[in-house]
Amino acid sequence: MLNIMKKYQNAFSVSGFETQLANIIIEDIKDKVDSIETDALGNVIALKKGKDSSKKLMIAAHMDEIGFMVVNIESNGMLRVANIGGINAIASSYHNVKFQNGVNGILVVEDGTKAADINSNKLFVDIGCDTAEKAKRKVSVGDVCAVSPMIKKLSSKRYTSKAFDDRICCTISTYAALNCDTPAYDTYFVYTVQEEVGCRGAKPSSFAIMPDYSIAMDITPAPACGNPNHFTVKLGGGAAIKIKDSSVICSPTMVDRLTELAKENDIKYQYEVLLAGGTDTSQMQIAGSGSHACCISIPTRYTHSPVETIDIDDLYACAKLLIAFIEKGM
Amino acid sequence: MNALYEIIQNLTSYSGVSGFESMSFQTLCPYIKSLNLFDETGTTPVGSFYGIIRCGKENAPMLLLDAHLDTVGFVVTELCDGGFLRVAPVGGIAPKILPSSIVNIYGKKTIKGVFASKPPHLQSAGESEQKMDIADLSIDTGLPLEELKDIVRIGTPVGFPCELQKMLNDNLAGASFDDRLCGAIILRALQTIDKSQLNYDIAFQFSGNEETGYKGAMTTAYRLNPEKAIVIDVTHANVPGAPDVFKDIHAGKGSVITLSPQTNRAFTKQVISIAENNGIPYQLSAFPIRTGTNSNAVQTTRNGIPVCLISVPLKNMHTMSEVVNLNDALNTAKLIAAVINQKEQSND
Repeated sequence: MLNIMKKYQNAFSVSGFETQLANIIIEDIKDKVDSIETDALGNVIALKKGKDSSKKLMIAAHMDEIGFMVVNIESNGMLRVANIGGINAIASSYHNVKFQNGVNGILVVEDGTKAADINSNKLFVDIGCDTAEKAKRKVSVGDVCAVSPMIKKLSSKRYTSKAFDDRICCTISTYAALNCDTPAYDTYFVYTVQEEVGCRGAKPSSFAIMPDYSIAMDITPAPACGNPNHFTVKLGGGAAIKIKDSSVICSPTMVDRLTELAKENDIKYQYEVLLAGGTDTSQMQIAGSGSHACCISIPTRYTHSPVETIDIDDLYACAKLLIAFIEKGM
Repeated sequence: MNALYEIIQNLTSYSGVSGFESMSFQTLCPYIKSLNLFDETGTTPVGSFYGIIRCGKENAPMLLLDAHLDTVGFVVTELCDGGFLRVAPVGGIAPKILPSSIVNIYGKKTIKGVFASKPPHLQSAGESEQKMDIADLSIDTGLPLEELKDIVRIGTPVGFPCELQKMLNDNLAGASFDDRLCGAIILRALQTIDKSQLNYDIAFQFSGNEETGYKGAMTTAYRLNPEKAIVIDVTHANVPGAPDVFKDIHAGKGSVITLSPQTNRAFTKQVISIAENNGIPYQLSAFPIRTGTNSNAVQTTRNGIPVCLISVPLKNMHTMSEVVNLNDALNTAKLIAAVINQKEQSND
């Protein structure tokens, strides 16, 4: 699983530009699934036939990450950028960034800006060109970049990287697709696009599938230091079974079943109530006539920063719980 | 009025916090079936109940009547020492109504709790003026933490108590009139129609997940695929200090028919003329933007559905003491029945 993780963390996949990661994923799983396709928006949809084909399970993990789009190339060669998704401007500034075509840059803040005033309107990318003309030979208005890949092992069982949100769950999905026995139901492994800009990939893909049961795989914020109020999950506390976030109340039927499976299989679990932030769960819940929907979250520190941090025990707990549901169903 | 009151009493006697509507199904489904109104009934994964009256004609168009089953409430986020619970709101609830109020906690068994309130004697100067956040409040269960853990977990739903209070002049106070009252109104209307005269099917959806994003309405309407829909919900009746838009909406003066881009103007005008022709009192309200009801979700389902929104004036919305006037409920039931009885319905 860690090899898959490292490979996925290093791919380029900003919201709306997920092709590179999509191709890697397709290559990884195509021999282990019954069919695989990419839809008009770029969602990768892989089907593994189940014992009971009268029911459908959809699993969604999103491929995209937050990033920046060039909106103007200034005469001095600096690139003015706009955010794609919910950027933490302070956390992202003064980091290396990389464009899809491989051009390196640094994300910098307008001269004279006080630390507390840093926001996405103050951000520029410096790619080392002194004139607009030179810069335009490297990038165009509309090109996107993201913080450069960097994955590091910390002490004990923890890793830090950008974009664990939600690449780490693509890793879990792939691991599950490669390692599960015959699924209980026809199981669709969906790697969605554009979650960070409004769950736009999950909507049409769930409508195309019309699942009976749905599980989103995503990250959830875990506290580190300071005031831990209003967080319910702990890093290292196990797979987080979502109760609610601001976009969904998970189906009690699914919450109960996942709890039961965690207990039966000795998987460490905890419950998650997320007060701000949404996931693909809601789009799967409301597709067509509706589905029983829930989300398995992996606790993550410093979300939407270049140093998101996860615990390997949580990673395996999430994967085991997902595989248990795939194999046993309701 | 007694027949309507009986249905209201039944439908408001159990909880269904948004997202947890399935808790109410084992009481709700047998009760509605016992009314013998529907040819088919069912429930959906998103917490809705539905019933269909078939007219017997093949491929008959369907008129959908929507009210929502779910209520606002809370979920437990933390179990604390001393038997206190912390909660997060489900749907819109003003924190200042909560201290000292009684709640039901729907764990392995249902237990009572009270939102803790700091007595004035213990408050420092100005403390009562400070902004309140639901995350800072706690519910006292009176149980030791260890015992509490056997009954309650993170995610357990919490709701207001389900008891009705009769007031003078046909007024009624209770916790879930938004929108159980309107479910009762629809059922009462369906009891009074002549089913043998129908030339279209009628469906009733008691939608889940309204307070948290209209999810039950959009998915159930998708399943039922109606030709037209009437959404019935509550609206704000005038109380001292109400904003101008609600100044002319009065409890006791009839159903409120809404004019909005989220409703169909031609269908709405038709309903208004039916009210006029039958001498049923009504009031008009205009919502240029969002109606805050299932009307938008139903309107944009599938290829689009013409919707009329009829509301019942209500005071103290989203509290444990919502107040309605039974005459408004009765007149709304009459209006729905009158709309159904118009034979032209299927021809336009």
